[in-house]
Amino acid sequence: MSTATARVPTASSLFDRESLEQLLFASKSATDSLPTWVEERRRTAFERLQSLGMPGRQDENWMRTDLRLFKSQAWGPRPATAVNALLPEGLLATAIPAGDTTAEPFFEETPQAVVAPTLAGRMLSLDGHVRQVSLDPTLAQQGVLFGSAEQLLADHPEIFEPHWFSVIDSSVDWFAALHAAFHTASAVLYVPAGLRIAAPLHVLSAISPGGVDTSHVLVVLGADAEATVFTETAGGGSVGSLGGFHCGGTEIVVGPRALLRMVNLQNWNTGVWHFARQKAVVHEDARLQWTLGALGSRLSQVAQDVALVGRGAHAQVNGVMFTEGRQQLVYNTLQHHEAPECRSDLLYKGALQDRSRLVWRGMIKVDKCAQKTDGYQRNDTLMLSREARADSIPGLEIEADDVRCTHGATSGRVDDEQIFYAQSRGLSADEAARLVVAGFFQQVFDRITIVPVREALARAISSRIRRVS
Amino acid sequence: MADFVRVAAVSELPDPGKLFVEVDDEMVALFHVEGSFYAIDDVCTHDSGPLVDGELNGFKIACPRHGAKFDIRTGSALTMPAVRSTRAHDVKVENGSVWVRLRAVGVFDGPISHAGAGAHGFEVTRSKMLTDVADSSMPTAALQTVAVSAADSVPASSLVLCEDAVREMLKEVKDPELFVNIVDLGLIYGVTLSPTLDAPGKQQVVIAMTMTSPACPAGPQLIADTKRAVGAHGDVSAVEVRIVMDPPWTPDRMTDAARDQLGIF
Repeated sequence: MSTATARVPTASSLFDRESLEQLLFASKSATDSLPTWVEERRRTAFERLQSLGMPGRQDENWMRTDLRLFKSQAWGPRPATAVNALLPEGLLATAIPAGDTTAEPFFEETPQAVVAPTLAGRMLSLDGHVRQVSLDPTLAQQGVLFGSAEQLLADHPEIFEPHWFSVIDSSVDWFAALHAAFHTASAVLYVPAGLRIAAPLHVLSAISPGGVDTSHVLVVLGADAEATVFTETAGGGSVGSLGGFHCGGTEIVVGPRALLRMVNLQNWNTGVWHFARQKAVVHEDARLQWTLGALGSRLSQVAQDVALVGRGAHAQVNGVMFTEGRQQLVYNTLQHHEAPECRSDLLYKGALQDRSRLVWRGMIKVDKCAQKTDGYQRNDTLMLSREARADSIPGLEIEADDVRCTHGATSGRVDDEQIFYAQSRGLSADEAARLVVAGFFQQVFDRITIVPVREALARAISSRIRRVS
Repeated sequence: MADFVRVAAVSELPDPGKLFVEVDDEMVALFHVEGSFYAIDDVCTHDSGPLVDGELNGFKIACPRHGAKFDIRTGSALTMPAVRSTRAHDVKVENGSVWVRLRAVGVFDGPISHAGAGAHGFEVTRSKMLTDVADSSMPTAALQTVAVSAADSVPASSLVLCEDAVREMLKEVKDPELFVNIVDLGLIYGVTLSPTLDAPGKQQVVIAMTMTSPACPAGPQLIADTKRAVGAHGDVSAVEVRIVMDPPWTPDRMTDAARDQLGIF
């Protein structure tokens, strides 16, 4: 063969054709009939995966992410672990039953559902295999669909087919394509029109050390529906070991006038590679409160997009990040105003310890038709050590001529004088540092209206702060 | 203290040559120049990108993105936009293999002490000789210890006091707007040293310098920085800065290095 064709070097991994066929075979035997559209979407993504290499630094979204220590060939689908394997505990899972679970008013102009002290449903998975699914039977009777994706996709294609891997773009890079081809232990939720669920639904994706998770989450809220969804991750190995690999995706569709409170907490151990693509589509007069918490992983690359597609849609995005050691977290956010009179408000706050690095690159994009847009984005970072590094890159891309779009970014170190003052009032330097960090996060905690989530995050952060240097 | 890790065979790396290696889960750039091997963190301290893809010129590696240069022997930042040194590691050659041992950085939970003129953003990392790693039981022919040269990284304030030493110290003073040091900008018109009568062995320094414009807002800061930089030398008894406006400063007083930094050709 002497034809010389320019080829992009493709990345190799154990996510190969053979494992795809095994996965499809397993899905077919697990469900009565695997819908052809589900299989086709996997195959399309796999063909795309075959043509792609690792994202390179010339790609704006990846130029601040160093993937040289990521060994794609080490990762592939994992067999189910023993049934009695211990499931790592989630932070939110433990917080919910114990804590005070009333939600404070969010978007005060609307009547407020009270978050009941129990979960409405729960799905747990370990290493890409579903371990437990439960849903309040009353809700099931009312038409709520929640649980493992495979059977629900087969039973209700009219609901899920239009959205399943149609909200996020699976062709955009290697990780997106890998996820769309090899997703397992995926969760779907559908809340029928007009139904308001008071209690939260909880999805925990866990891995054992060296494990792999490729779970997908699809949430669809019908018109006028209301729900609260927590998704969280836990487990994996610590830095210096094989760690773990997560390549996931989240798709959210908020129907007209619906209200969704979504919480994603990433709390892997420090050796886990985390790649996630998340997107919400918010329809007219619908409201989305989306909170991201990130405490773990060795390297995270997250794309979080909100598309406001109907007049009067409103999205509030909150981010709470705490990094330490040599963690590196990269967030690319997009607030896309595709319809007039929408509001988006993003606030990311991060504190960095040791040699960790936090990158946020945000964009507000306003289409020509999206007049009367009100968009805001803000990123604050607090450096707790001299070796930490934070990059904040806000951006605006506005085609309409009657909008209000603003952004801001701050970064700084803990003020020595504040620490000194606190010490002069009898606090130790450590206590003083905790107080300063708590004060820093208060602004975003004030926006997270779900009390147990706020408390779990505050506790987790407080326990991680060592000393300000 | 970390252990030496074998990273490559000597034959893998031409001279001059560079190679990306992993050591204890860290990204390290390995260099082979003039018969010796050197290792530094493969991280540009300006934008955290890799250095190893950049151009190697003598003992300098230039970051491929914004052109910051680092000394591969010491990790010192040599040019803007980098102002902090990257970390240099210990290297040895044994039995035809290159071994790297990571140096500790960044004490995680304590304050980090920075050597050198931290006030001006530059820290000078001094490499230490590796005689302590030579295993005396090894046949000497098989053991070649690479001494990481420290010549370029000696702080100017430890040089013997003379006019050149003063100029070296003055290079630590940067114009706060242009980020170019005042020597390369051509602001220094003269340096005079004279013995101090009441303190034997010490000298007083008179510096004649100008400003880029008579109403330079950075003037007081430049004067203060100049006094501090030169005063840091143990043999200096007093520093006097005389501002001279005649002849006025013109851009052609800048050195080529300053022009390069400012992008003027």
